[in-house]
Amino acid sequence: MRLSAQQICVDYGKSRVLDDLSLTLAEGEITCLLGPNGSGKSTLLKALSGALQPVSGQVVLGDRALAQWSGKALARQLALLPQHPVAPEGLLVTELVHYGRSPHQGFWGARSREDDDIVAWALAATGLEAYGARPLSQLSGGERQRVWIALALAQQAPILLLDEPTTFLDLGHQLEVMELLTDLNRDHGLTVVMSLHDLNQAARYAHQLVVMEQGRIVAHGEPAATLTEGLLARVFRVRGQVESDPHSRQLSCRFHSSLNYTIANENG
Amino acid sequence: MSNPGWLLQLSRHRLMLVLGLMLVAVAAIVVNLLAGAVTLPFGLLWQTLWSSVDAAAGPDAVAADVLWQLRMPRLLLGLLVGGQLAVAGAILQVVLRNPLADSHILGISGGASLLAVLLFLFASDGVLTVAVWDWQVSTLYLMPWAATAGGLLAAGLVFRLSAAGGLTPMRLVLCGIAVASVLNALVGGILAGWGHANAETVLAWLAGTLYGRDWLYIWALLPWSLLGLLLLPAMAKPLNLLQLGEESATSLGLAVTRWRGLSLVMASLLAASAVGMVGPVGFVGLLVPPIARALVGSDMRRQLPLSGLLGALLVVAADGVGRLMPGANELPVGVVTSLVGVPFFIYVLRRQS
Repeated sequence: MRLSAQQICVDYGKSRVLDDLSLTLAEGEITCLLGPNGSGKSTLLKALSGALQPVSGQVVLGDRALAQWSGKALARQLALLPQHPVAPEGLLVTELVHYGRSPHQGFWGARSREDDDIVAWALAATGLEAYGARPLSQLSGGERQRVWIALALAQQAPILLLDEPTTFLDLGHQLEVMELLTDLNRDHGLTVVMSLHDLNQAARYAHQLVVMEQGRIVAHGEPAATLTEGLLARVFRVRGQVESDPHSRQLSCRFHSSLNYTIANENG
Repeated sequence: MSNPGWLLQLSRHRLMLVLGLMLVAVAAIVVNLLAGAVTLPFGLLWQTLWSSVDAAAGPDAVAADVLWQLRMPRLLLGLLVGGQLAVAGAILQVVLRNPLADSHILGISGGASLLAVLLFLFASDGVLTVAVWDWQVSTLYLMPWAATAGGLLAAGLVFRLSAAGGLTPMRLVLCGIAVASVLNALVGGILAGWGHANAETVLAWLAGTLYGRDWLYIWALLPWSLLGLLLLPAMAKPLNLLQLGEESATSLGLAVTRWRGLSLVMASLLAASAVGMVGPVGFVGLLVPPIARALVGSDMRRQLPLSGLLGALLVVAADGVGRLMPGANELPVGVVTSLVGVPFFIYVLRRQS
């Protein structure tokens, strides 16, 4: 189902965080949101998930605005993994992943055989079969992030929104999460939208890049067409080079210096 | 409850602990019925239990009187009050995302206390005269209703003050503490300034006591208990999702603000009606939920019923201890819940880590 933002504005108090922003997400592809801190990536993800109401404009899923979807029906279509998810103390991995079934369950939250099967599948897809009976608190950061992804998978939503899923992980675990998402996208046709800070990872794993600055989208397209040296300088205030490997056509950025810092020092 | 076999899923050790606590509960109930100023031998208790409620027709009129007019209502009220306070605490700790939350934090105890103190102040010799119709009403019969209303009014005020922020936990806790402080200051001030004549009765009530509670209190409380029993099974799943934080809960299809509001109203009704009957019994709502959590985990489908059971046990056991304490007067149950509950709480916390 197609998810798009149509001229949305979002305010936090008096300051405008998203400014007349429109975006249509490519179905069945991985889209990465890039941009400096405070450019509105998290806010856009929250608005796309329905957790935040725009003051004007609307987010449309399929044939209706998000506001016209019931909470449960919406939860069956899209899942959001927040930047800092919290779980109650002592909760077991299976118990948490089972909560992903709640949009499919009745009022009393009764579990069906089907729920058990889907939870088992979600644990297997994230490589967590052996972890089911463990408390979440005993897992490493990377394992915990996989549990949260398993929760979103158990939700069986075709659209998965993730807010900086790799930020607090070491490099090995970052790549693990990115490859897991790539597999899920390829094998199950999931539409994945995530905010990232690492431009090289975004260039490597995303089909589409969306670059944001001060609540607006300043570039949107395939990595090779979007990630340019001019963009690095203008948006990220970084002097760097973008190179394309002649064999794999893989993009990579090399950074030299911060433009802001250099200018400040020269002026001082 | 979706999974009646949950007891069997617990580890052997925890299962034994839960079953052990249930045994203690049964023992506490029996001791509470047997022991007191008049000791009823077990045989007589058994006979009296199964004979007619009519005192004169039983095997022993005094025993029947003691059992049916004094100890049974007191026991039942203790069970209901304890269960309600503990369940309210469990709900509040989830909704306010704060392990230190209980009904004090929403001003419920303060509001109930203020109306109770005012009622005592305007009554002379335990009788309140309503000027308009020249009615004379015993304050004992007005007290549960007035105190319940006071608790609900205070909670309502806290909700009103926090509504602007979408009932966020931080705002609720801050407004609740502010309102509770003002109410407690008023209670202290009124008591110090005008309270001499009734100070002793008021002080016992403020400590939380089951002394002299008869069937009238049971009938006053029962509708709220039944409402809780009826609605709580439906609240377990939303409360589970609320534990995951606002964003995750929304993403899982929960109407967060609506369920926060419903849970708070439910907890307020349970706590305010319980406090109305016996006064602000401390620590039950605070201590019991973490103990239940340590025993059966955070899943509210287990934690809510176990909290209710443990709360009932704590209050009844504490009342037994307070009643049987050697000395002229009995200790108010609220004093004992604090004295008994806190060491147990610390023990459980230490075992957990």
